[in-house]
Amino acid sequence: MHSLIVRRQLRIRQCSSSGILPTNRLAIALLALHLALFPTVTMAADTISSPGNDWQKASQAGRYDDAVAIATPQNGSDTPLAQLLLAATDLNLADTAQWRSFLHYKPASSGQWLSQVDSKQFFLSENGKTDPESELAATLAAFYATDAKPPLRLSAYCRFVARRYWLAEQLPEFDQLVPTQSCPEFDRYAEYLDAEVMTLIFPTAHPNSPSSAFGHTLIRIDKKDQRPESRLLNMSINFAAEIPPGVSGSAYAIGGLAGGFPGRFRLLPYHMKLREYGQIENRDTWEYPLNLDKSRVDLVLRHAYEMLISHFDYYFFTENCSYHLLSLLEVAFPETPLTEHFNLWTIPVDTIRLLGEENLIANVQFVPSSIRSLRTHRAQLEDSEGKLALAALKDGLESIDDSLSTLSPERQAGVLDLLSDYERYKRLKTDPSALGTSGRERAILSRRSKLGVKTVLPVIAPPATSPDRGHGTSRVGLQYHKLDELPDTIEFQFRPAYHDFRDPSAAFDDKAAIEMGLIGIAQDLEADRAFLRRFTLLSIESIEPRGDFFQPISWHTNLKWERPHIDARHEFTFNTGAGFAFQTSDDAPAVFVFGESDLVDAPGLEDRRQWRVGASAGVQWEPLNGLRMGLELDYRHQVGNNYYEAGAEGWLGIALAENWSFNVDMEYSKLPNVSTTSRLSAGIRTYF
Amino acid sequence: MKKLIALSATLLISAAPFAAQAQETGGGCGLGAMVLEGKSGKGAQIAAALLNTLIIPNTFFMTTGGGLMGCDPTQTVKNEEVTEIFVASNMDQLSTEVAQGGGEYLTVLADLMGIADEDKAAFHVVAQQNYDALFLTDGDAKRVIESIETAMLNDSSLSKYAVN
Repeated sequence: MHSLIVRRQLRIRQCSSSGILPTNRLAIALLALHLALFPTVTMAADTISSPGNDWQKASQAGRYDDAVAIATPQNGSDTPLAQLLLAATDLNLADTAQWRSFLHYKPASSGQWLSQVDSKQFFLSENGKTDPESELAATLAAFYATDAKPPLRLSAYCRFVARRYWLAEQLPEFDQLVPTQSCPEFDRYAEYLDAEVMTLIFPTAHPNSPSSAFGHTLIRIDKKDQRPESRLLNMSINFAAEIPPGVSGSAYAIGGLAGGFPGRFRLLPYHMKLREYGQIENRDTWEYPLNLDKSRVDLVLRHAYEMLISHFDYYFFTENCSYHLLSLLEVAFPETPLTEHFNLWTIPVDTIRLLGEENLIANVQFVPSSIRSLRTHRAQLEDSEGKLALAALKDGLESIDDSLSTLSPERQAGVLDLLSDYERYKRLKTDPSALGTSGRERAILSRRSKLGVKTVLPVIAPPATSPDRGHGTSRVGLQYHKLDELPDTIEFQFRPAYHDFRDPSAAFDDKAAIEMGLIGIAQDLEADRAFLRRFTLLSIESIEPRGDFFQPISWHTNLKWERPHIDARHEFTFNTGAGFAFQTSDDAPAVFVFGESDLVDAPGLEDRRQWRVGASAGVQWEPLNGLRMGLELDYRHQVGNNYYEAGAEGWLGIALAENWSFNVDMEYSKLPNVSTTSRLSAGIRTYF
Repeated sequence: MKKLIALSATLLISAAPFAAQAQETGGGCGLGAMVLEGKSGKGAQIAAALLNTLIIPNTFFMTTGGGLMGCDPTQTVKNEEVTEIFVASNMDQLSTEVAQGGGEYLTVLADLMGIADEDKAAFHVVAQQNYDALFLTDGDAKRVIESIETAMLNDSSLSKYAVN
């Protein structure tokens, strides 16, 4: 039998040890692809003058600083390296923004430079991490070495391609003075990528996981005039923390926040990332093609090539995926350092906004997640057809045989398509690493194929607002509180991140809220003094409605300190709640009910440390775009004693503009031995 | 709770704490100790660990990812690697699209197999008609691709693609 494809016999031994490593054809194929991209080659330098020169020996041995010292013009030598060093010093190349961008130097508190790169092998000088000049001199010296310096596989000439190209551009003598080496691996990399456009990819939040609301960014490398579907085959550059197995939950959190894990750039086929984000994690994805001309694209990719061998200590808040994507793109814009805007924290959507402000974004496209596609398919079917699919899910395909046969082939196809969507969703939820279809899916799809009908995919309308057009990630606000029996207060609030239900919902998931670091300082208008009204370290809420297939548990948690009035003491609460939400349609009110548990430290009460349990119930609704409202009833009772709190709160949030909103709030509270008190508040918020 | 993720770093770095000597990773093999014996050469399990990493989603705060790690190569790339990787990684999506008579991923496969635009409709139909042969037998990406070729042989407009 003829074959389109030449077969290669690959035989491998089963890896028996850990059991986490199935050897399979895919693994081999992936390896082979990567080997092809990055083969090792033995380098033969074209010419190098007599190997007797000390400085050349030093360079070849990897002692680049020594080579520089030996060849330095003051020593009276006129060697090629000395001439280059002199030229570079004359032009003051080490003190340029471009050179600093290649080495990721940032000003350190000492007034010196400090590179953010944390891999020793990234620097060619012993002092490279803090000294741009030594690093540049050592780089020039290193270009004379044909040997690789371990742990690198390639000579500096062939590894640090971005630096070399730039130095060759800046130093006219470079081409005559530095012997060329052939670098087939880099050539293959450039040829394979065939890059024309870089596209920023932004997967947003997982459903029911507000912590993922910050999203992720990666870059896809697109080719000239490519077909839309070919983008799946393109390579993508992804920066991520790499965490060894066996790391405990707390070590994972602490390590991730505090730089305990290395973060690396990786090159991967885009279809793999899209599968991970769009299908397994069910995240919607936005694509932003960037406005970089080819020369800048090439520059960024040369630098990405250099970066593949290094790592940065990964800090979830500051030096995260989005920050380092910017640090990669920055080499193309050394005069306008993109990362300078992100000193305290880097939130992915803010990096997209910045690129937009710098006119680097051409347009935006939306790729729906699997769950969104599934919901759209469901909506296209009749109610009875949807129920058929669910019945088959429960009782097997045969159980709906009779009902199916009453439908036309087109309608049958619709039912079977939805059923296979459900089966796939379930399979990936249970086992995200499952690659092929399950037996059940295959039976369904086999049946589907015999209908001979072609599925017409509905067009899934993207959300009206792209993520970079939502309200700013930080907010400040002024709130006026009118309390009965207590003085009025005006409260100033600042919240670094991110979104709550009263904020304008455009571009946000209206079912999720996450707040970090909310601080409120109130001025008691009678006492004419200020006090810390509240501090919320973290608050996460997810209200995900249940349906006949999707049955998520809604949940929330928060950690906060509150001081209701100037004479009260601060009360600390650690709250967790879990429950159910229901919503008849996307535009209908969402009704929810939660069981609640609070760990409280209330120094103002007789019984200071309390565990309270209770419930909350309420409704949220956005009847018109930009008008949100809610009502919530709460009850808590102290476990083991008599203390209780009951309350009812109604609120309204009105979006005034992209970055302004108005809210009104009314609350009634009942505490033991005190008659019901009420509060009315109104306030303005602005976002930036 | 938090999902723990096994990364290819585990192979790359497992012998030495990553805080210590970071290995070169731009194509470097990593650790000789973890090298597989056999004709395919080293690194297959690195790629496999990669898959484990890639496909296991990360939730809760951090985005993590795997990476392609290669080792000292002896072979050159052929397009079949790209096709095989694509099919193997997206087997379920392709299976669905074949049954449904077409889709974006199936179009990519057709492109990879060199099918001209005017023959794509026939390609989709032939694939759909042969769903069972393609996917009901136990097979990996290689087998699926071979089965498609076999199916094309029997179709007048597509047989030209199945002949070397």
